[in-house]
Amino acid sequence: MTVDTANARRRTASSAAIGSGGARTGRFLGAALMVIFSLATVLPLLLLIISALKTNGEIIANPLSLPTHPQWHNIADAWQGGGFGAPLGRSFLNSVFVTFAGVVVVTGLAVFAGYGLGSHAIRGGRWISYLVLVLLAIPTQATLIPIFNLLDTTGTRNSFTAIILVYAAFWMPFSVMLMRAAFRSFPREIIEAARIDGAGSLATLFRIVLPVLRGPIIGVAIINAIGIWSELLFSYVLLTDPDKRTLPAALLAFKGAFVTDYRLLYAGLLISVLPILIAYAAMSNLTRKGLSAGALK
Amino acid sequence: MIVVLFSAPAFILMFIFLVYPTIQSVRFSFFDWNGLSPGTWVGLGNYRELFTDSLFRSVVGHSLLLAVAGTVGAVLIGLLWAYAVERRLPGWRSYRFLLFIPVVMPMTVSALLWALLLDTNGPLNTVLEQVGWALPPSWLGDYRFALWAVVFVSIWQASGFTMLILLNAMEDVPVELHEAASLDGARSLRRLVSIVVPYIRGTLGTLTVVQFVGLLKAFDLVFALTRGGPGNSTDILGTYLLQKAFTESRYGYGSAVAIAMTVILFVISLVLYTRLLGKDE
Repeated sequence: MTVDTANARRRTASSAAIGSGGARTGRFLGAALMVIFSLATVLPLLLLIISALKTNGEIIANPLSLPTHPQWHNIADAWQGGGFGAPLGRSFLNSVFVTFAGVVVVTGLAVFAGYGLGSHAIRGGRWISYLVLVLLAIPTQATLIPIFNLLDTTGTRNSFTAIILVYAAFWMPFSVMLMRAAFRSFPREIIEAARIDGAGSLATLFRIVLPVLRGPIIGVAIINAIGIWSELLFSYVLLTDPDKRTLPAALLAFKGAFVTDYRLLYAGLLISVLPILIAYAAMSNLTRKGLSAGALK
Repeated sequence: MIVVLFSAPAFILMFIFLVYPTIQSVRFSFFDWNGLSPGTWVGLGNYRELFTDSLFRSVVGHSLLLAVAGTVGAVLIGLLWAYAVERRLPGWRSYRFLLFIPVVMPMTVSALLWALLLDTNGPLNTVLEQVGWALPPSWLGDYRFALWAVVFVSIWQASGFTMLILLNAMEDVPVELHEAASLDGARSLRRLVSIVVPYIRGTLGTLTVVQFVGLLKAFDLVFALTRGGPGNSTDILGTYLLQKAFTESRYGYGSAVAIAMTVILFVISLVLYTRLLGKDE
């Protein structure tokens, strides 16, 4: 890591020193292109924010203008409004609960599995890696109809417990794989030493290993949180009770209910991204690190 | 013993909700079954229908087009973007921060936002009219443009992610290589093609596979943006499955779609992995 930073620092110096003549023109053109790309990324989000605070008349007449008087009540209206009886705020809280519980279950179980598989000498470890890779490759769509059928016939389809377990299972192969890799990188001699000192397996895990592996664990938790918060297909198919809906499915119903009530639609979308944007702004480095660590394993 | 005890809960959960349902899908796909009455065994009938269904063929076509165009677009833009940040162009910290925002947004939200922006009477068309385009098209309502609008939104969403991954790989390119090349008078863009890209080709390959497979599995992007319309012009594997299984209550046929989709995914990832990664890893 420190080597990387040193490399990067030298890089800044070298590319600045090289910047002469034609290279400088190149850098200018490159920067211009980046500004255009950045605008393409940011403009839609700015439109989302300003439109959420305008009246419908303003949105239609002049989509790019700022609101003359910010309509803060749009946010409250969207929070209380919703398709088919259930307010959007309710779905928001459902999403918070399902995401939180799902992340706790999947990350917790993956930590235990990673500890078992990664910190202990086992025969056939390579086969377990292959098994996890195959599980990782199964598209969740392949399980949709049987899971719907299973939960429907047992009367647990509209329950949070069921969807939390389903989500935990879906994000498990990925989490187990990353956790196993993290635990393997932890020196096994230290674990052996703790055992000789008489510490039990659980004590070793919680007192010695977990504090060191906090980084990778938080990374896995962030990826799982983004994934579960965004999941649409299973939420849409399994949670058909409007009171149980999570945010993505609720937003679709919301759009169906307020087709041309643009201020409400924008405000509803704003409610859904605001917590994520705030969280990202607060810990952008951590999020990027977590996502890039997990992405290509 | 301890190993089993610690890893059992995770594997039991994966077995119940991942392995067992997938096996069941295979079994369901041999039945004609509406979810209520007991199904009738039809053997390979569902698969035979699948291969003769012209809609299924165009759905596979849409999925492949989305996967190819979306992957190429996101990887190329991510590559340029990462290079700009890596070369420390003025403002690079802001590019890195801003471009990544769509990545953390739920796809449903991005798609619904773009559905509003690209609406016939939406902001984009209002601006186009103001600069003199009398009748701009309905981007999502016209079958000639709708699928490309889907591709565009997927690239908008994914480029920050590809940028980040490629940036991490680029930071490892030795500075000496850059210096040697610039002494030889190689321009920046030239260096990107002849030094950086060969150096990071492993990451480029893996990233391409990940993006490609992810887009073949796509669902929320299309379901929230166009619902597969107009007509079936943007229907992809994910929305077709939902349509057959749950709108038409054909669970057996839907299962055949799911299994066909799984097989397509496995074959394509296998081919891509051996083709793109076989040489250097």
